[in-house]
Amino acid sequence: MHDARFPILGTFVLVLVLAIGGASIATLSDGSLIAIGTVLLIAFAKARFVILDFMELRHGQRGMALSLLAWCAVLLLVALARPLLVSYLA
Amino acid sequence: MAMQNEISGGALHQTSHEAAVDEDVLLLWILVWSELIAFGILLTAFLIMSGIHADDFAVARIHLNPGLAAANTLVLITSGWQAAIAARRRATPSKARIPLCLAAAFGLLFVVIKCIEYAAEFRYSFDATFSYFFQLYFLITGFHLLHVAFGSFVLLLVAWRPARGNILLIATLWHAIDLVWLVMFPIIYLV
Repeated sequence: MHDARFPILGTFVLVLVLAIGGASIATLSDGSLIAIGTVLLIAFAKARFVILDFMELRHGQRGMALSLLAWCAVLLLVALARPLLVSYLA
Repeated sequence: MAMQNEISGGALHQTSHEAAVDEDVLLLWILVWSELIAFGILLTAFLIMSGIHADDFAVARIHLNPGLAAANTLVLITSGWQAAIAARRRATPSKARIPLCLAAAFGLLFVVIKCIEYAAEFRYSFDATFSYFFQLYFLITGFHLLHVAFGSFVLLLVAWRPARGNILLIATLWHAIDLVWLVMFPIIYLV
């Protein structure tokens, strides 16, 4: 499971930047569909880095990595479905 | 010669034991998935209710403090990073002590920030208009907060008596708790 070559500090900095970026977009945006989609996409990107690098699943247990990613994706897609549905009905 | 064989045999046994510790992770993943399924159900309930009571949820969300929650995201990511460092040092458990303690410290900082956030939000939970929102909000975030508090305690316990298998177990569980927050944060506070 361990991969010493991958710089874990790089992942940490990247996830921090994504977190700050996501929060900034959410604060500064007017709640448009594009902003919501971007925030949810950033949340998925953060989760992906945690799963693959922090949990050491990038080079092993592919099924587990995919199922964890699917858990995040399903919940975030359901979250996106609500504003999509509202804008479609409006 | 016989003694050398015995020593090399012992080292081989230890290496295979260490490899076995990393491979026997079935129960660990069952534990992780039991958490993810529980939180998945709660977050789905929140999303369904936010669709049914869309206006009430939108107004109630104004009373939350996304700034503090965003700060808590950074705190939990930093804690997860330290837990990941500890997991990578598990071959020599004594070297994992400091990152485990740091992961626990950031976990406890998360608890403190969340309690400050709760102090300002608690009064709104008695408002009948927001009752659905705040019931689910306190249930979901409170359940997560208990996990963080208990996880921090276990991180300290493992730092006190580090063992390869225990470091891997608590680090993986800690990342699962981290993962739940990363998904929960935009769903509850932002979308």
